Amino acid sequence: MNKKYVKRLCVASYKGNTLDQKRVKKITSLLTRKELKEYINILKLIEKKKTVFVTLASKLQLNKSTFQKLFPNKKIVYNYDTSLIAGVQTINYDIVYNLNVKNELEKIEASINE
Amino acid sequence: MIDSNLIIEQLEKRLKDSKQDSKIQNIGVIESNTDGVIVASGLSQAVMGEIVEFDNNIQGVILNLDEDSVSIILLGRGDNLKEGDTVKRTEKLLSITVSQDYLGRVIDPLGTPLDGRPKIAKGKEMPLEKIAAGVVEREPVNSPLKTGIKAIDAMIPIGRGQRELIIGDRGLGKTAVAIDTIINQRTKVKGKKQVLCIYVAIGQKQSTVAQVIGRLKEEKALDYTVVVNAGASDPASLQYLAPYAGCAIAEYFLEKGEDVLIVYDDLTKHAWAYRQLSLVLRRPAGREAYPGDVFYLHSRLLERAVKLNKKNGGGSITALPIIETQAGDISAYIPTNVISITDGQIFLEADLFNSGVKPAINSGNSVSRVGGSAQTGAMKSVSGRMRLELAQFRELAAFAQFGSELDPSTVQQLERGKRTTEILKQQQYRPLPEALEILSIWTVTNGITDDLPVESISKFEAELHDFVKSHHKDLFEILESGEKLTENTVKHIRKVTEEFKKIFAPI
Repeated sequence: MNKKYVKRLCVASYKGNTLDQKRVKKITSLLTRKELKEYINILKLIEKKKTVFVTLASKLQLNKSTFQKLFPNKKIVYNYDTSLIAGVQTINYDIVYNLNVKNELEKIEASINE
Repeated sequence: MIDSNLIIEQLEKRLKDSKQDSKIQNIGVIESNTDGVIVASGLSQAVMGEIVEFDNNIQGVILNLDEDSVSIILLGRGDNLKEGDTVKRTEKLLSITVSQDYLGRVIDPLGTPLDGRPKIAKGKEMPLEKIAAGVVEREPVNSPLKTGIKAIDAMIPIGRGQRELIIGDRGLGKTAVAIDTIINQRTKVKGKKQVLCIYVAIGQKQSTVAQVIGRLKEEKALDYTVVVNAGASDPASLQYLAPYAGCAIAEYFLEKGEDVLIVYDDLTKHAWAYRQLSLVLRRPAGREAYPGDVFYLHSRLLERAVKLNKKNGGGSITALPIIETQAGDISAYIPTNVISITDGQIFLEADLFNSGVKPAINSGNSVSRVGGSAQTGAMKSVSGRMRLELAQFRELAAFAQFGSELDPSTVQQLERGKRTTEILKQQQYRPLPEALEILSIWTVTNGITDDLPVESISKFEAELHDFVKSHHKDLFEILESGEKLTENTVKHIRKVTEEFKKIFAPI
């Protein structure tokens, strides 16, 4: 079974937006060890694509409804990191939105070094 | 008081240089690190051939774009990179910063100096991969690139802008031919630009490269040469990129209208490095486990050797790729590929080498598809007969082995052939100016040496050269001009050679 078919199985493991445990059990019982590894990796990737990580400088900035509107149909995980100073860092799978003071200071430092 | 115009200028420059939107980054996460190839998920907006940067400032190049992942070859040691580390796009394609200061330097394919001297900061970014100049921008090869090696300049002439393959087994003098050609460029030809040289060492032993650099320094040839080195202990990715880096440097000088000679030593190891990368990247393996695009690997490199027309600067890049064969088999995969790409080949043979003929050039199998267009009038007029005489000699030499009685004309041909073979022998690192090459060839093809013992030919030639240089500088200058030999010039040469012959004492 190649990667393409394993991917199809991963997509089929979902009921709506969540993983169906019964389906997962049924599918994994039919897979070899190598295929199972591939299956797990693809599931992790799918979950990663469905999740947005939002890091805020302080809890005072939290406005859940804004982020929900920006990323509908995605699960949002909130973190706090005071080193950002102010602003937010949003990671949507492989796109990083750095709208914070820490990033601006790093850019200034990089351009001075250049 | 800071000048406000200066501030505005700096801001405009910063705006021009800054990336479109640096607040948004496209990143990836390392999934595996195998044999110098990283597989990373993410990087969905990355392009083929883009440089990416890892957390520890090591760079890599994207060589595979898959549905959910990319494969990256490392451009340095990646032992510290592990699963879960981040990789960022740089939005730049692979390039090398080149400037005039590169002449005389030894660098790696990324432009990092290897000679212990300071890094060269300023320069122009030249892309490693570039589409070769089109038909309209080119002109036919019409000026000679003199190697200083009699056998090549007479029978297999190379022109500026040509691709001439040097092919043979290990240890037969392929690199020696290339190095002699580089050394010969130290003499500037009247009316022509000096040829700048680039020596690309791919997968070579470091001791061998050090020897080459030492010899170039001794012969004062390093001043106009750039050495690009990706040794045997360097990652396959650097060995793969080395020829393209060398070509990018050559194109920098080409754009300035210069003539450049580039030696790729050797493309067999380049193909091996590319095979290694392709197998680790899981690309489908073809014949001899090479990937399907191994022909394109070399064709796109060698097509960048060019002779531009005056409208486009008039510069040229002459390529001397080297291929190592196994047991003289020129019908193997990589040799046949490169033979079909190049404009001729210089074939070095083990039998000739072992019988003392050095350079061991097999003039029968060697060819230059540019031919006479790459020769001066003088050389053309003396070398025309020589190739035919040598071919006849080779055929007759087989009969001579039977020891049967031969007629006088056959004996004469055999004796002439032996003397021609003897005069074409040449010491390493002793390239000759064209005047002396013409003199030597004229002497043997016109029967001056027919009555001399074969063992004395080398001594005769050396002393004749000294005699002409010291007593007949006018003849030397006439021959050096390259103009077709007139009757008067021929009479002059005959007079001088006969004058010398009277005082010559054979061995």
